[in-house]
Amino acid sequence: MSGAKGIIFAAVIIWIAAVLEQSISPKMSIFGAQPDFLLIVLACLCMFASRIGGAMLGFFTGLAAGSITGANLSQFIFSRTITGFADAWSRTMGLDSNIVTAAINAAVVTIASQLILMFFAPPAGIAMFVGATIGSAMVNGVLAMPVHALLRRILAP
Amino acid sequence: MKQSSGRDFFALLALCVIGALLGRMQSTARAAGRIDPLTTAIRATINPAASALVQGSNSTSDFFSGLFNASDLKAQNRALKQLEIVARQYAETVDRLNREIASMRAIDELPVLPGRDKVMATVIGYFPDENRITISLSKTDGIKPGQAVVTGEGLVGTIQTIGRNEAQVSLLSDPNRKLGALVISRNPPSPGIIKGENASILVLTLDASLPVENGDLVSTWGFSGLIPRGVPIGRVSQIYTDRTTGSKRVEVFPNVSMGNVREVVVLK
Repeated sequence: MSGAKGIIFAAVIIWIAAVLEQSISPKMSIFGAQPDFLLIVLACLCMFASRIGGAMLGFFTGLAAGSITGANLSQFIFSRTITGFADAWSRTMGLDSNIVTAAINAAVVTIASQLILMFFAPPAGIAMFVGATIGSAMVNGVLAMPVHALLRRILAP
Repeated sequence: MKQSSGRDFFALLALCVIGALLGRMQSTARAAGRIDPLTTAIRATINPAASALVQGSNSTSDFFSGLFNASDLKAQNRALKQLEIVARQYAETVDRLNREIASMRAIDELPVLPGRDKVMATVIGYFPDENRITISLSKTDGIKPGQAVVTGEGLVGTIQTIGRNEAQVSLLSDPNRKLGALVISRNPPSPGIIKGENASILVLTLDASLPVENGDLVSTWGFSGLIPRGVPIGRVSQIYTDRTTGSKRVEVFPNVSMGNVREVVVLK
């Protein structure tokens, strides 16, 4: 995923994820765990991106997430940018790009980015936050499978 | 490879610095009570689509909810309609009771007339075609024919006959019975004779030279001794002058609406 076409494609996917995050996510709560569509697309797109690309994707998903929630932009940008960078870097470990690794990757990205966010902006109830993050990671993992399959179909050479 | 790695970390650092600057811009705007332009712009691109999606998902959800819960919804609808009927009946009952309370208060606040006792009675029959009501008083209550029957609003009629357990009252609307009346809004009051014409109109006959105007209050004359002076009867609604007889025919709208009367007082 590179070039102007890749950038436009990534921008459209992030926009769709932001719209879903704003509208559908609160209604898709499963046992209190809500999906985070921006983290799902970050995790899935990072599997096709370079480290700089991952960082850029993290930056814009963080910007979108911070704008939607009205929270501090820098905290969301830091947490997502670092996670995106690290996730894209992890491609060099030689893991296969399939739906199972996509699911695991999405869960790990969710937990990592939320833990970094927790470091920058400690929540009032840490136990509840961690519980919600784990639940969200599981839901994101499940939802990342079809998203990854779709992206691979579009982006694979 | 090493140069590329350094460039990547530099890019990461640059993005984090931009993020920090954006956060600072956001905090400055918040301190000034505004939303920063970048957040506004991002929300402007996301919100319309998100709103449309929310509406669409709500409609879809409602549609399927309606489809699968149709029988429940129908039952709820029926129950709500029943509740609405009950609520309307309740409101009507409350209104009626409020009117009755107001009427009872008016009766209770009737001025004390010297030498007259007030005897409460319940209306147990209303015969509009005969211009008559039946009340729950008997000879043992000490009432006599011809005595005034009133409510808080004014004169209802006079006692006509008294039985063992009930008494008949001839209403003001009776065209066969005449009473002395005064237009007390005039000074001096204009005297005349009043009788019934129909359930809603009384006719007062006055000398053509006596002053009277629409809206004037008409009350009892008190000439007979059985009906005290000054009990309100009604208000003037129309005035006709008959030049051949030299009198005025004055239509009076009665104060008391008989259909609503439940309690009366006999002035004995």
